[in-house]
Order: sequence, then structure tokens, then C-alpha cells
Amino acid sequence: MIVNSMNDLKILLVEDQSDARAMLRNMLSELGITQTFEAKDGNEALRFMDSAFEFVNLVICDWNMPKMSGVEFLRQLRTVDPSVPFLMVTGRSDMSSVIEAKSSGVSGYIRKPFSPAQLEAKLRILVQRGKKAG
Amino acid sequence: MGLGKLFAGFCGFLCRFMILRSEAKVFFDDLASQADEGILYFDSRGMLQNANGIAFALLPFLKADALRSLGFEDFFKSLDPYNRHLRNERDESEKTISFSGLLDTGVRLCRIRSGSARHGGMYVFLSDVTEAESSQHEKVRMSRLLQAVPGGMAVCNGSEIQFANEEFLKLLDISGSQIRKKNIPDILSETISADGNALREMKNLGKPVMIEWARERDGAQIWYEARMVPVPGEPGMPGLFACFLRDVTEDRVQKAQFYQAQKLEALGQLAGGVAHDFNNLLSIVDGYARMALKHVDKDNQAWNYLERIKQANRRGANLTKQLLTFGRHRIVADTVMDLKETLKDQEVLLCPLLDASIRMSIHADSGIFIDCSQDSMAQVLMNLVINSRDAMPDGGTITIDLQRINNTDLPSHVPEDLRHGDFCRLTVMDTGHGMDSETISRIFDPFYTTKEQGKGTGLGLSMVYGIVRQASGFIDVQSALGEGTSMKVYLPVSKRRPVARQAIPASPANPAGAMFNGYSVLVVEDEPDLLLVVKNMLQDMGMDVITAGNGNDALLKQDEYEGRIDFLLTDVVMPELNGVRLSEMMGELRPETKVIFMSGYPASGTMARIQVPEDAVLMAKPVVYEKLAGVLFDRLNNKAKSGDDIYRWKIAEAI
Repeated sequence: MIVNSMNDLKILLVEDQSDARAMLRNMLSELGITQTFEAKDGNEALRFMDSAFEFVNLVICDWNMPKMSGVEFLRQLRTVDPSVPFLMVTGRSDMSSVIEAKSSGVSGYIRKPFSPAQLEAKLRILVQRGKKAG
Repeated sequence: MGLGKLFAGFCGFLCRFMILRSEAKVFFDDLASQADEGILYFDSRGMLQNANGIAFALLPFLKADALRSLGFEDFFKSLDPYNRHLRNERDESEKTISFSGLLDTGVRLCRIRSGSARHGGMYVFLSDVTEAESSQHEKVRMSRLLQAVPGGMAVCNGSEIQFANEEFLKLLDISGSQIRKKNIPDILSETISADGNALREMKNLGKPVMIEWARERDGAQIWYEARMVPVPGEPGMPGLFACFLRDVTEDRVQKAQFYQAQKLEALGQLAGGVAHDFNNLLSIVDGYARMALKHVDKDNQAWNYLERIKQANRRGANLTKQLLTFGRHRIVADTVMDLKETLKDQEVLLCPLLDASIRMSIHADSGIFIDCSQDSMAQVLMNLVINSRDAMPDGGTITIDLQRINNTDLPSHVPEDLRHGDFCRLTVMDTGHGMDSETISRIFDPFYTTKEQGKGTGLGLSMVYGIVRQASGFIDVQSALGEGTSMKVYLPVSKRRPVARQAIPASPANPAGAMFNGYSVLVVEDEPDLLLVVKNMLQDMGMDVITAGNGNDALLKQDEYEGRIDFLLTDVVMPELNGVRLSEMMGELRPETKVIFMSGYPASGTMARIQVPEDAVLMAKPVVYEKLAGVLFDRLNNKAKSGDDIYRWKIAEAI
């Protein structure tokens, strides 16, 4: 699915902490992205994607979640939707987890704490990459 | 006297003689049968007359018919095949012939000695020495074994040392004669200042005792370990004590370093984990502060407070960044650098940090390249030098030394499998107050500081440790109170070479001669023809050029470009994402990239389509080679600063 501009983004946020979810939602709305869906863990997100994947064209997911880790969620997500861009949010920035994330097929990653400008840049990169590939 | 009387007398004599002879034989048989040696009797003619059972048993060639038919010479000849070590010792003065030696009769070893009988005959005595010999062998073997025991070993019977191997004497630095009539606890306390009482305790406890202690020798500390083990004696006999003594200095050092490395590894993981959670909290605090700022006017006092919160948050984020470096959770750019060049660059930055009372001397071998980013190495140096400085409040000398070394010069705690390849050693040495061993063992711990409250975060050396370990290097600390400190950083030498970056300004003689060899630039321009023109110009200047047709594309291109990007040269007015927004994002993604705007519109004022920040560098279109080179050169040297008129379009010029 080609997204032409930032405003067309429909994002699923997967994050276990409600504060952090609210933060992300606010940042996104600052960037003019208002179509957001939220899930508090991987299972909820998978259930959502199972039935409503056409409503989502990008996933932002925290890497470190208690019930199902980001990497496990991504693995299962790829069986439902093999191509939706996946932005991993992480505080873990050691090489091994980045390599792990890359080999699991994340489209990009962003390190906490990040500013709206950093988030915007990452989203733009994903949109642009999608356009080129599309 | 009649002949008959004479005959009868002769017969009587003969009878007596025979009786005597038979008595002698009975006597011999009796005696010989009770002896535990084999006994053979050869008469004065050298004929075997008698032999006891043991002799028959010991000599398989001796058959019953040998009696009175085997001559002495033949007897010895018969021994020949069995004779391994027979020694013929004739003692002429005593008119005896004695043979002594060992016979190997298949299973037995016999010792033979012969002595002359009074009437010219000869006795041969044989004894079975199998047991005696083997116990002698056993003794020799045991003594060799004890000499070969790794470490020193001594045996003591409670009051006197009965045996000490050479290693034991060597460790005590004494000769064998000096241990005579001494017991182990005494000699150990006299020579190498062991706690003799602790060793004596074993006697009372009856259980093994182990003590470890250190003593100074030639200014170095030597660690010993002594184990006293009771050896029970035969029933009714007093027991013995064995003492095993080792120099465990090397072990101690290695163990300490191993624990230190383990502790730091664990602390690193902990710090990384804490930093992760802390980062989550920081993002939330930062986010809400940003949101709140939008609802507050600048003249409201709360605006100031919120700004403070944001500032504090930034400091917090910096702290976690340092923690992550220590925990090796940070991605260090994969670059190769010239260590001597970095030292030279850093010298300029370090000197202003040092008091006039502190002298700094640098010696560096050239041509040492390592796989590490320049920034990380600068941090390492900066931290080490600042620590040295703080250790010398009354002044002194900081010596920085860089040299190539052999693998054999690596610290002993470096495991064998990590020693391959070439290494270099960077030493930062001071003449300051030094550290005690307690401090040395903790200096790399995060948040450990000896500095006054507020003067250090306690993260400096943790970061150094993290960076060095990430570059596959090692650190060794040598310090003693009052004698200064020497921090040695060992790093693997890289076979790669950095791309030589060289900026040559244009000269009046060659106005188009500016070169930026090895530099890279990202050019963003939505007019394809202009993009091509600028690209060619920059390539002519020797630069590595990345091009993008719009802001979003520029973000993607920089994301895919793995090297360092020195310049961002961007158009200001572009659809979707303009140059100013792009530069803001670049500032977050690649803070080291120097931004130059190019525009056909003025930078500010009513004619400006987009407001360019006050401190930006803006170059007027059309883009001309010489002007472009000049701006790049000045931007590189930070000469082009905020509001610099040379590069800012005045409204008048723009129109």
C-alpha cells in the first residue's frame, strides 16, 4: 500500500505503557497524523490486525513489552501482513538487538527518548521508502 | 705301644672325627635351616658340600646332585646368566673374597656375599632382597615425585622438617642446611612472614589448615598460600605434617581482574537496563513538557519552568547516553582512525583544561590506526587526562605515550583467544597522588567517584571502559598511593586506513582550485537540472556526493548512507518538506552535519517564502563554483557564522 504523504498515514501503536501511548498519539497528532489505533500488547494488536489490517498502513511498536516482546509480535504480524512498515521503538540500542530487529524485518527503529522531529524524520523515511519500492 | 692299639687309637680318632664331622653337618643343617638367608658351603678344595633349602629355592640351577660335585668356579659360572650386577670385591688383606651384587633370577634379586671358613672352605650367603630393593626404589621414586610436585612441599614430624623439596627452599630463598632442626610454622614465619600461629593451630585441630598472606619484596607484593595437612602415622607412631606452599601472586592478580571484568559486565547490563527504563520516563516527561509549552504564553512564569524541565530532561538523556556507552549498548560508528592524528587534534583541546602548573608531554608512534570513532576516542582521552589533572592539585606532569606493542606485552589477564592480531598501547601517566587498591578496584564502576559532590558524575571512566571494550581493547591500571597513576589502554590495530580527508582552499593564483578530498555532501534540490549541475561541481571538488530530489528523499538517502555526511546543501523552498524543516531533522539525526541553505529567495523579511533561522548559513542562487567552494570552506572552518552578511541575501540583492 503506497502512502503518498504523511497525512495519509494510518498508524497502529503497540505500547504497553499508557503514558507512552498517549505521548506517541500526541506527537503524531502534532505531525498531522490523526488516524491512529492503539493496542496495549502484542495479542491485542494481532487480533486487531487480523480483522482490520486494511485500516493500518504503518505499525509503531515498543520493543520491550512484558507479555509479548516486539520481536515476537513482529514475527506473528508478518504471517498476517508481510509488508506493513514496522517502526520499532526502543531504549535498547545495543548492536545485537538492532541486528535482531533488522533480521526480524523491522523497517526502521527509533531510540527513546526521541523528539517529534526525529519521529517525523523516521516516518518520512518509511513513507519515502514505501513509495520507491511501490 | 702295639700296632693294634695304634689302629684302635686311629679308629677312635677317625670315629671321633666322623662323629665331629657328622655333628658339624647336623650343626650346619640345623643352623642353615633356621637362617633366613641361603647358605652354601664349599670345602677347601672348592667343592660344594652343603646348601640349605633357601639356597636351593633361590638358585633354580642348583639341583640336589650338585652337592659334592659342583665346584666353586662352576658355581659362579652358573650364576653368570642371572648375573646382572654382580660385583667381585676381593679383599686381599682379610683373605676373603666377597661378592656382592644383585642377581636377577627371573623374579628375584639376591645379594651374595662370601666369607672364608676357618679351615679354608668358603661360605656363600644369599639373601632375597626383592622387597628391600623395591622399597629402596620406591623411596627414590617418591623423592623424585615430591621434587616434581608443583609448588613447594615439606614434611615435618612436629618438631623438625624431615623433607623439603627444592621448590620449597626456593620459595623461602634458603638452603637445605638452614631448615635443619626447624619446624614448618617457624621457618615460614621467619623467612616469608607467615602467621606461624595459624599454621600451628592445625596441630590442635588435627584438620588441614590453609592460610594466604602477602609480603613485600623489592617493593612488590607477593602472595603465598600454605596448606598444612596432617598425615597420620603408623599405630603408636607420631603423625607427620605435610606443608604445600605456593606463590599465588599471579593467580590473585588474574582472579581479581576476572572478578573486576565480571562485575563491570554485570554493572553494564544493569546500567543498560536502568537506562532503558529511564529513557522511557524521560520521553514521557519531555513529551508532556512540550505539550504544556503549547498551552502557555511565553510571558507566563510557567513557560520558564517548563523550559527548565525540558533542559533538565536533556541532561538526563545525556546521562543515560553515557550509561549506555558503559553498558556497551551504544552503537559506535564503524570508522577507522589515525590515533596519532587524534592525539594531535586533542592536544589543542586538552591544553586549555590544564593548569599552568601541569605539564603535558605527548609521544606517539605514527601510522597506528584503530577501528573506533574519533568522538569515542576523544572521550577516552579527555576523561583520562581530566582524571590525571584532578589527581595533581599541586601540579605535575601528564605523559601520554602511544606505541605499537607485541601481543606478549598485553596484560596477563587478557585471555589467549583475544590476543591475536597487532595491538597498540596508549598510556596516560600522571605524577599525582595515586590510588589505593580499594579505589583501583572500583574506578570503572558507574557512579563511583572520589571527586567532591557535584564535581564528577562517576561515569567518566565507566564510559572509557565501555568504549575500550567495544573497540575490543583492554585497560590496565597501575597506581600506588603517592606515586601517581598510569592508565594503559590496549587497542587492536586496524588494517584498514581512513579515507584521507583534505580540504585545500582556493588560492588567488588558482581561484577554482579548492578541493575537498574525502568529504561527503548531501545535495537536495527539486530542480533536476540544477541538482545535476551542483552535483558535478561538488564532484569536481573531490567530494563524495549524495543527491536527493526532495526533502523526504533526502531523509531516506541519509538513512541508507552508512558513512559520515559532512555537509547538507539544501534548497529552501521545496514541496512537502522544505529545506528548513529538513535541516531541523538532520540536526537530530546527524548533528555533525554542517548545513548550508541555497535559495533564490531572501532569507527573511516579507519577500522570504520560508523563514530561515537566524544562525543559518545561506548561499544565494545562482550557484557558482568559486562561491560554492568558498562557502563550503568557511563552513568547514566554522567561519561562516550567524548573520554573516557574506552569505545572507539582503532583500535588495535578492530582488
